[in-house]
Amino acid sequence: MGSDLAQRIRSIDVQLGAVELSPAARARIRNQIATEGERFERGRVSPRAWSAVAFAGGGAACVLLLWGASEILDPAGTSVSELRAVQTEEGVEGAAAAEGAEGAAYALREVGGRCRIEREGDVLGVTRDCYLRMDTLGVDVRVMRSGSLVESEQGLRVRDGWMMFEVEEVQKGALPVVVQVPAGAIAVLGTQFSVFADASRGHVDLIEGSIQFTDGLGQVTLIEPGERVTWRSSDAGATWITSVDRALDPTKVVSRDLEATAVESRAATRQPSVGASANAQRRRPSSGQASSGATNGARKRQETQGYPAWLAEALVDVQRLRAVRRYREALRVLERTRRKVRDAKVAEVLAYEAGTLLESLGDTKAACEHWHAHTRDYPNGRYLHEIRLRLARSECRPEGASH
Amino acid sequence: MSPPLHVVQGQREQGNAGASKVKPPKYLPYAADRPIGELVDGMYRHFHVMVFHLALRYGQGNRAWAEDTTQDVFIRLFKHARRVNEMENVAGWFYRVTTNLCLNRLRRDRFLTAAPIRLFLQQSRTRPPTPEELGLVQDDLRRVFEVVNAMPSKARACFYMYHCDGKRQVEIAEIIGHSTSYVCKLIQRVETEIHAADQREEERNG
Repeated sequence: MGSDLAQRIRSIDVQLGAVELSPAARARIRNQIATEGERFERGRVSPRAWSAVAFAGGGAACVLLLWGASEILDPAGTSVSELRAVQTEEGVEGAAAAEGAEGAAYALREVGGRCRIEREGDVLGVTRDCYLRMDTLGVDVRVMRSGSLVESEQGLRVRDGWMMFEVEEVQKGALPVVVQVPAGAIAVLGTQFSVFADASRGHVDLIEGSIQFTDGLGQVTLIEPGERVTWRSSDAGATWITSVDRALDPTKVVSRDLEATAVESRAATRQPSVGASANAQRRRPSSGQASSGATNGARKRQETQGYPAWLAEALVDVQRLRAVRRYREALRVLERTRRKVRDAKVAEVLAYEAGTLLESLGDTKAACEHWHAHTRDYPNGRYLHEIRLRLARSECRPEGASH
Repeated sequence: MSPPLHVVQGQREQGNAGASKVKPPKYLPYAADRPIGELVDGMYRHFHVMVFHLALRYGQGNRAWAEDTTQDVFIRLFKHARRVNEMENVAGWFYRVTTNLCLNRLRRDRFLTAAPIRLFLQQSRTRPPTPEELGLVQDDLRRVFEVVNAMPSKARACFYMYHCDGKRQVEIAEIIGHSTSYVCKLIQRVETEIHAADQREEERNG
């Protein structure tokens, strides 16, 4: 039976074997072979290979596009466009970067204020009321009191002086910005704080967000808003003694702008502590080590120095709310306060503060409108440079431009 | 009923003259420096009969399908022509490649001829040639042909390779990439179907 089956299937196969390729098919196949052979000899790429190349090219284009987009969205990337905008805006002034710093990718550049920068080796000596920016890291520095600092790839080193730092939020996974002070280092992931340092002592005040302070012994401390890290040299002068003042004293978080106003007033009158807030007094190096004075006492002192208690109280509230990033509430308090203020100088400071709060809120449109209004109201105001910088950073349209 | 089929490892007797088409005369390699088109053309002249015959066999006697498959085999050969030219058993290479290409194409066709796909592609099903069209007039041959064509492509291929080409089950397993026992099962399945068809026919004739 098995052999019979084999016999039958072979017979079928013989029958199938009798069928031959049709002449047309033969001609077609040989023609195809000739064409293909010619293409092979010439080394041409087959249509399939072309489609593969096109696919790979498309993929590469997508990758490049995404890469480009991420570059644009990257904080460092925005800095580049911002830099361009500021350079256009600032013109010659913007191009006047710190002397000798050209070429360094992380160099500080002057963006406003009345700066006088002197370079001695790596050390930059800067005068007060100077606005500097480190584009690569998104660090804005406002020099409140003349000092010196050194640029580094990951941040800055403050040797002495009094400086206000505003650091853009660092992207998740990226290295923090490091601001070195004589007694340690501050790791920042996007916040506002001020640094004061001189030869024998110094402190860091955190205004908003949080920072990590690492002292000379490597001990890491997390600093919350309103807290102050203080250091002084040991008796032998060989080491730094660091302490953290964790008592949230509202007078410590008073508006930085009023502090700046105090600096300006002092400079104008050549008299210390005239027009300064109580906190500014306490922070000034000449005023000695800050004591943990009671809030009421501080407010009273403020009142006697020309600021009413309600203003001091409101500013404390604003700064407290800002410290915990409750910007909307801070803005509400500030607006209430602004309506009561009659002093033009104080009103300017508060208006500026309101603008920064709008920016912190992320309401760019409102912030832009606010800055334009501020420029109109105070055409020769003390914040002119900073506002121009902020307008450029927020990519605000020129006033009157159609939307 | 035929006795159950056992796995055969030994040398089977060679097929008869009917299978001669898949055993072409020995291929004499071309000089290595010849243009690739010339190599392929030479191989085509030497092996196209065998390739077409195998394709026709696995493709249920569908001539157009077999012609397309033949062309495909030789176009694919361009990539490997120089290597194949220097092979000892060129015919074996063609046998293996043609079988696998046919099985792949049949698998693809099975997908394309599925009702929803045909409906989607607005294509009608192609009718395989009848045994009469292929010259199979004897009833028993027609019956066997129909039963074999109704079997899955892999079983059909194994059955032809085993019975017509005298391949051992080990060789078949190696060609189609399955175990010897699976090959044995496939062949047995076809044989059982043929015997069942024979029995039904006998019962019908009384």
